[in-house]
Amino acid sequence: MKPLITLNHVSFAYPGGPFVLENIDLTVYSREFLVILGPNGAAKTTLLKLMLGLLKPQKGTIEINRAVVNYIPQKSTLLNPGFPATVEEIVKLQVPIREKRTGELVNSVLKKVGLLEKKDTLIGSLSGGQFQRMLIARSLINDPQILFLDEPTTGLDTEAQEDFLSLLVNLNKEGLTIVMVTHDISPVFDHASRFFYISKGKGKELAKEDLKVV
Amino acid sequence: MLEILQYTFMQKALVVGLMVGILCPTIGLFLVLRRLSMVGETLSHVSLSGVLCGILWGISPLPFALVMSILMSILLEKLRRYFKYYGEVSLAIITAGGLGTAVILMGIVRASDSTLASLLFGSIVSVTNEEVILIGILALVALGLVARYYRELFYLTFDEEGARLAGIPVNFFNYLIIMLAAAIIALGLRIVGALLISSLMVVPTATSILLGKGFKVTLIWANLFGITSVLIGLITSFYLDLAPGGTIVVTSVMILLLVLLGKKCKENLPCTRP
Repeated sequence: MKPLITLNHVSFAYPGGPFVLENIDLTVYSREFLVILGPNGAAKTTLLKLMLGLLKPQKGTIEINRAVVNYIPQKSTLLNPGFPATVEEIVKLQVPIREKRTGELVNSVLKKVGLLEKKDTLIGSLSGGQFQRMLIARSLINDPQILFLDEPTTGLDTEAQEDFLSLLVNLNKEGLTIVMVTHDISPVFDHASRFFYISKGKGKELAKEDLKVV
Repeated sequence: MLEILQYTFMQKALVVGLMVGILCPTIGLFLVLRRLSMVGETLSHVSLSGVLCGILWGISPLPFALVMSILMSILLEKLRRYFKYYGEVSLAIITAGGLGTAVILMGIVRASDSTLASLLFGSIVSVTNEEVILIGILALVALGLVARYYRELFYLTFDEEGARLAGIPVNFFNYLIIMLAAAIIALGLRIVGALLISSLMVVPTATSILLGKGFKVTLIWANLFGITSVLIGLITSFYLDLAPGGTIVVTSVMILLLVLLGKKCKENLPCTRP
């Protein structure tokens, strides 16, 4: 498997604070489904932002192999669900400006996430799971190689979580590399190909056998 | 109907009113959806002190209000970042500063009651040719910018973090929206008045949101409600000899109530009841 992102001995601290991540070594490989686990406040999102290049480490290096990446932030669940916009309008936001096949592109990603028939629906009428699917569709528009997701199943019921994760598994099978942050291992246990556990600033890779499903 | 068009001041008022009726809801939609409805209120108080400065120093008040309003909008955006978790505090600070300055200046200028009334509540008769041209230029620039950067402004309004990650210069567009709002308020102040101009940014927008449509359709409806409020308000005020600013704003509120009523009736129709 081709390495897409490599972190070598990475340490990070927010201005004026202690190191929240220390000496992290991690490689994201092409086509894998990597789950980053850890308790609340373990700096999982910080690690994600370092990999996205949104934060710079104080120590160590991060090599990003020219890959198109997209990110669905944790905050997405806090977006205004009553915003007056249709599913199509939101997905279109990510279409490159000079793209001529906008309609075709939007239809194809909506079909992929199972929301084609909801194209003209107001986003306020979508369920939590459908809302997350719409955000996935938006992020698929520019054909990314890696999709980063930060706690995407938070707030979804069990059925919606399963639906959403099976969509991610299908996208992963089609070749999309997935890096997902979560504090709850249960829903993703069967789907992930690899686990990376962070706690108290330290990180280590864990095998499935090492994990106890709560 | 034709009688109204025989008067030059009404011709100017209709032209300026229509431009303000389009401009206010256009920018208002981006503000309201970002929970910044009170920005208009804040900037109108600043514009008022700008106009009074102009009167005090004997220079054309409108360009002075424009500059003052834009400068304060920049300060407002800076304060909004400073008080990251208490955004409304920045609005309260600028409102207090603007209103306080305006009250002091009113005392110094010793403006007549009619001048003060026209500033606070608008005055059609005092709209000059220079102001019509200035508002015309602003309308072209503002609508041109919104059309050109529609996608960026829409993305920013829906999801600021997502827009930043998509490579949109979020800070630039935040300043652009607030500066456009400042300019529209400073120039629209002459016709609707300092106390009422911000409501023209909020009420037609709120009415269009009630319709529950997509973003583009909501924007179009907000413009239509803005134009309708101005037209009905100006015509009614002319024939009934009412204050135009107040009549425009009351019309916009009545349209909102009618839409709300229509929506409630539609929801309660036997065929639409779940």
